Amino acid sequence: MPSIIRMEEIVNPTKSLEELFENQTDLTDFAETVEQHFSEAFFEATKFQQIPVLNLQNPSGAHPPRGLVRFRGMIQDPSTSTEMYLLKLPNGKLGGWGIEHPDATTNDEIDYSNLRECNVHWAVNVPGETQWATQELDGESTSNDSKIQVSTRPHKYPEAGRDHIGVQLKLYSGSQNESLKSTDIATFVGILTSEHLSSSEAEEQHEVPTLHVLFTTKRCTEVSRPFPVSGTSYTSETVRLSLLRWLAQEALSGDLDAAEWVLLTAIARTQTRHPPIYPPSLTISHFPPPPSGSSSQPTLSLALSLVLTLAHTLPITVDYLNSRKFNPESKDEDLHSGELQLPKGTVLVVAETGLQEGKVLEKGLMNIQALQEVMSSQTLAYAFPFSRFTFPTDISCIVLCQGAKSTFFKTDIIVPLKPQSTEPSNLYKSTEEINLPPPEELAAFRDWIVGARSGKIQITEDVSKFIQQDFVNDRKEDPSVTSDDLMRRMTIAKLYALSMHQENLTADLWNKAKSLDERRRLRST
Amino acid sequence: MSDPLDFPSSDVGDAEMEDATTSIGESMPNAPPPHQPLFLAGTPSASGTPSRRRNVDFSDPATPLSSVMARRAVGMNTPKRNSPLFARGSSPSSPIAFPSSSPGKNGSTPRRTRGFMSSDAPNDAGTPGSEPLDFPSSPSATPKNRRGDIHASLSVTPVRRPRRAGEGQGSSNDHVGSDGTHLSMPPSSAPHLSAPTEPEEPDEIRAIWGTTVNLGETMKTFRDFIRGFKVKYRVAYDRERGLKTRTLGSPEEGEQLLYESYLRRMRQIGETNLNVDMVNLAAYPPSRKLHGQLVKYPQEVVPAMDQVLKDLMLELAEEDQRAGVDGMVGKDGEEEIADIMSKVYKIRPYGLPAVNLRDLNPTDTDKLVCIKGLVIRATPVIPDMKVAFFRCLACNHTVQVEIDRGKIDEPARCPRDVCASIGTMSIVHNRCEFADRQVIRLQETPDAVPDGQTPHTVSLSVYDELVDVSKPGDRLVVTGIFRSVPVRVNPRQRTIKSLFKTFVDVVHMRLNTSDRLGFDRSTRPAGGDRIPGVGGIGEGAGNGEEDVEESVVEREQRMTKRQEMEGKLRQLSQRPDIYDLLSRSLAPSIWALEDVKKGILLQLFGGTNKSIARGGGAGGPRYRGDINVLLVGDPGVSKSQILQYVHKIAPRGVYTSGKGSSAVGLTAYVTRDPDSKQLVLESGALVLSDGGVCCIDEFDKMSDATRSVLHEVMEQQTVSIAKAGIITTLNARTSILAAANPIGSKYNRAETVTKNIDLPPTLISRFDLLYLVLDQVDETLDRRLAQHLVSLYLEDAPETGGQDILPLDELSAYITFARSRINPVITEEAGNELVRCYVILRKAGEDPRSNEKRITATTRQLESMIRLSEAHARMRFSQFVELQDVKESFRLMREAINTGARDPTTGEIDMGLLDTGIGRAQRRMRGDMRKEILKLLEGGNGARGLKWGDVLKALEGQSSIRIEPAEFQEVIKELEQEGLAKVVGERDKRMIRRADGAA
Repeated sequence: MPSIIRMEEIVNPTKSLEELFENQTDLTDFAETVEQHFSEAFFEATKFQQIPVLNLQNPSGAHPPRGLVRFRGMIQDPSTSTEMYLLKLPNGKLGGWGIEHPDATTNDEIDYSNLRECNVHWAVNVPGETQWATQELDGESTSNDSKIQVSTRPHKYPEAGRDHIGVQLKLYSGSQNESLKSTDIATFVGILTSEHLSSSEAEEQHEVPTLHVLFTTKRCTEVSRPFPVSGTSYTSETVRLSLLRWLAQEALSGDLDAAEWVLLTAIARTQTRHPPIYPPSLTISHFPPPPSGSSSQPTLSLALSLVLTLAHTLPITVDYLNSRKFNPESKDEDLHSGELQLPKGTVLVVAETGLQEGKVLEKGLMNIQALQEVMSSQTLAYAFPFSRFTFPTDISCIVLCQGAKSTFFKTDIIVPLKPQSTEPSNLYKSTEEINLPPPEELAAFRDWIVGARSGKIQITEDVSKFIQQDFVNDRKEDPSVTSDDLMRRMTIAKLYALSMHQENLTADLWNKAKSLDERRRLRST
Repeated sequence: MSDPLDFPSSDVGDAEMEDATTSIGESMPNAPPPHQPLFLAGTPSASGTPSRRRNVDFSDPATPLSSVMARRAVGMNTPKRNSPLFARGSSPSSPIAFPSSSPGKNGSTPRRTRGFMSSDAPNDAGTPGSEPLDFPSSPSATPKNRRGDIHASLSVTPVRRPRRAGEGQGSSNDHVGSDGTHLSMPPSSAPHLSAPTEPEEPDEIRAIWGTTVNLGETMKTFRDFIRGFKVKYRVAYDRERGLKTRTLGSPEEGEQLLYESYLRRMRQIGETNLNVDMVNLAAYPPSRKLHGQLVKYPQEVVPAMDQVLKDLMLELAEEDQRAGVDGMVGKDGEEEIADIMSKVYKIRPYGLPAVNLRDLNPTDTDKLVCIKGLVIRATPVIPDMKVAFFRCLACNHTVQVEIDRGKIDEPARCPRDVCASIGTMSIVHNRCEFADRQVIRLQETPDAVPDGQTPHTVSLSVYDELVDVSKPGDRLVVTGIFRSVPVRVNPRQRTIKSLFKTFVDVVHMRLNTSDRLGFDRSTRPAGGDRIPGVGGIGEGAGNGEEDVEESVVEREQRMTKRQEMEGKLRQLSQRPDIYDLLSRSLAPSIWALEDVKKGILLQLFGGTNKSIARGGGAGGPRYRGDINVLLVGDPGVSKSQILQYVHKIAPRGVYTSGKGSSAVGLTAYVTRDPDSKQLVLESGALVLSDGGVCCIDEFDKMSDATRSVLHEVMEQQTVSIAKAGIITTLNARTSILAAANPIGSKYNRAETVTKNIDLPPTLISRFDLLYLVLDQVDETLDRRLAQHLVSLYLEDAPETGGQDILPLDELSAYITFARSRINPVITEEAGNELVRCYVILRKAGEDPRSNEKRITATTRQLESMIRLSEAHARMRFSQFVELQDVKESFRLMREAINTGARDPTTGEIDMGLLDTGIGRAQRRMRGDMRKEILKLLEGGNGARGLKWGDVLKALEGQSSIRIEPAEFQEVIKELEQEGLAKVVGERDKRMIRRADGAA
């Protein structure tokens, strides 16, 4: 009757933990034993799905105390110092995992050889995760419309002011935390309690949700699709085209080329850091400002979040720049989040269209610099006292601006928007106004785009020769062509091939990509 | 333990107390007539219970307190409290009576106590009433050692007896006694002191609880070590470990009793801390075991060592006195000895290999560890209660309670049997004893943090002498005891969770690690980094004289530890291509830019700082040895990469971007400290990089305010701030490596440097070297580039810059070594060459065709050249600046001037371009224009005046080049100033007239 035992583990994880402890003679690697036991217990997907989910619909208040939950979160602050706990209490009982024993008093002799280490991290629900992705990963949410608790630590979430879930993670097994870095996403399964903050030494402590992690997994963490797509009724070419049409029609006033550029940017990821091949940053210029009265959120953000898994929008205004903090900063040994502390693979829409005149203060300048750094070198500096640490990011940026180029940012590619209709309100439709494609087509869009993001491209020797020759020829004709052009074109060509769900870059694709770039250049002049 | 003698005197104002003392004689034995025979028994010591004291002293000669084991036993047996802290409380009785005779915390050796006890009467007779006079202020010199870093001062008591047993020599004590006779010490105590010494406690339990460590052995071993350690042991040990050693100057040097000499110096300078290099412990064969014991059981072993130290201080002083050593004869000697007795001595062990602070784990609990890190926060000094003083409100009985693991047990009832009222004990704050404590947060240094991880932090508790030694921003190497203490669920509850908090109790700290470039020591204030203690503390030792003397072992250690590295470095320095090798190794991923790399390399080595020793104030002006470098160039030529690279290896390197940083970021600002709510000065990048390199990217984007600060920094090397009522000048002796983009992002070759960069010429001229890093346009290069770029997409492995390069750490070590050790002096030959080169540079401006001069070199360039020559000599590990150094620096200067100061219109070098922004060609043009204008004015209409526009037109007609209206205006203004012309009218109606006086 194994299934019943496993259910027991969901109902009363503490008990199974204690049982495990009692049956264990050698305590040296107990935390690893726990990890192994529980991850094996929930190895089957059906059993894993049974674990209650901690998310915005089911916040910590919706779970019983010391209940087992799974939480898909982004590591926000891994800098909290480690904690020590007594694995075996003086009374012979199990310690750690938040287990309290009121009868254990200070004066009992403490056997220091039973001390173990546990890592304390702060994690938040994944910022920028789109609704459909959440649903797919968490399963149909049994939205028990319980009151969203106001997080007591709003400074720990990148999107200041947004409802979110923040959890203090306690990682007991050494292997769990080795690989966890800031902005990493993982699914944590553990016992949910409410405890004081580990680090703070302040007098007025409040309790925070604390997850005593049993095991960490990458399962149910990311939506994944195969590359190249196979076995669907749609061919990749037709899906691509209808996606482009839909996006152009709904979000870009019918501009197909602009839609193509948006899609290429949206599927770009950081390839390597040495040498640096980063996702290109895109500016869509001449983007009309929002008509007065309507929302300043461009429809593009909404449309992208229907097909992408991680999308985020920064509505840049002078006020926004001056008041928000883009870089994470450690204050009093608490790492405050910044708007740009986003998980890898996020597509960031930077909407400059609502910008008005005003004075950018020092903070604003720092923020501009931070975002520019993300665009050009895919790094984000975290400020620590007396030192700055830069962390790699993987964020594709799409800047929307009114003028010929962005007021603040330098991007790799600038595409002027050629709207088919002159009605700017088309660009600022609300979610309800968007015409959704049929569900199966939308699913195909998602398969196509998520798959393309994970693809890899090969370039054969012949094609590379061809490209080299092409470059030399181009320079003969036009000396103004630079190495930057070559690099940009190669990036575009690779993305173009990915967008076709092709595994090899061919001369044909190269030419198509080049003509796309040519058309863009003509538009700009 | 507070001295009862102090008690009455300080309590005079307290009538109630006075009453108490007279009325309740037993409980207040130290009342004004302090010779009461009973006073010992009733001393309100921490133990508090007279009965127990008696117990200890009389009924049980083998004092159960003398071992930890026993201590625990006592703790359990004590009826009133189960806390073991009583054990240690028993010791202070005699220090109260004879502060001078009680050595430290262990002061009251049982023997002595007993001796005293039995001699109560004679004692009293001998010195009735004189004691209060002699030792009225003894609490200030409290001879009780209560080291904050070693919690278990409790273990102190047990330690003391075995020592006696182990050492078993009465002679020294005799001397203590006999000295005492001349002193204020009661003469009667002497005989009693020595008498019972020998036959004591042979079978006492002396092991540290739960271990096989025998404390008696330990003390004996340490004693042997101090008395027997010679430099030669260390040399032999290092040799054994395969380290290269320094050859000793003479056999005598190896025979030197190192620690005895330290002890003598401690006596001479009144120092009470002895730094003990733990490697020496391991090096001395008899004490090898002690090394391991010290690491595992510092809590027990350190106090034992402290005790040995004090004993030996006394012993040595007596020996010296007998030998009639200078300064120790007669009365002086006695005073010395009395002084030593009143002091508390501490050993501060160091020299363990440092571990990464994130690697500290539970198994290190209560062990001695060594960690490195960066101080990010330090609390103000916290008065840490060591002994609480309670008084019974009912009967005025007083009790002292010592702190135990951070908490004080408040007595629930009056301990006096007669009184025994419940809840009447109240604390008397000004009678409690406090010690200095400070909590420091230590963060991992960027180089220790694994890739992609955030830095971890650990708390340090520092005590007494170590308080306020370090400041936020300092890098420390800390030796201390790793602690884990249980966290209470609620401070008021007794229940604990299984959670533990960790911190490090610091026993020894040293500023600055040797990993990066050592910061320039001349930039630290003399004696500013005061780290207490004698004996090889390494860098940061305040006293210069001390430094020289005591570095025998320190130097030895450095020599041996890094001997291999050093030998390698020296060998490297002999390579003929060392210059190329080093510059190649600097940012190997960037190819070409050879001269730029060389310039930056020399910047890293730096010239020598010179200050004129004699002069007004603090020794006259200081001439900077820092070399400033400016890189100007097209975007995308890896300028930022170079800066980042330098930041990685530079000392106190700070990287900042001109764009983002305001004056605040670069300098310093006044802010309210969140902890203390006081206004504090927070340093900016420039102050933080004092003694290091400040890398400033996007220099041109900097605000004017910040730039004006840089003017001061680059020449005066200070930063002045006046904010919120605080006016101060901070040192910012930093080299600046800056990168700037040209205006319009692309460098315009047809323009001068100053026109290309948006920087005032005055600031540009403060850079020793200015490099233009331009994007080369070349056909074949393009093809190679295309190949390279395409290949990036095909291959995974990126191309590496060179074949033979030094790894980063070696390069860093090389630079560190050169910077800290080599201070080259300019030879005469080099001096002459410098003069010659300077003259050449000056002469380059002379033009035989005209008598006007271009400025090709100013004294600034001469100074730069000197600095560069020195840096080059340093790079070669040469003690002298020689001809080749000057030649290379001249070449670099010329290269830099070539790129930076070439007038694009004439192709000639003109420093004036950099200094004033006006080139010679421009000046000549103005001269010509001036002549022409004067000629026009000379003409017929000159006196009546010429129309502004007409003159301009006339000039245009004559000239082959376009006349800039702005230039024209400048010339007219000049003429006006000289009184040769006059301008009347406004705007378009302006008329130029010949001045009347002009001939």
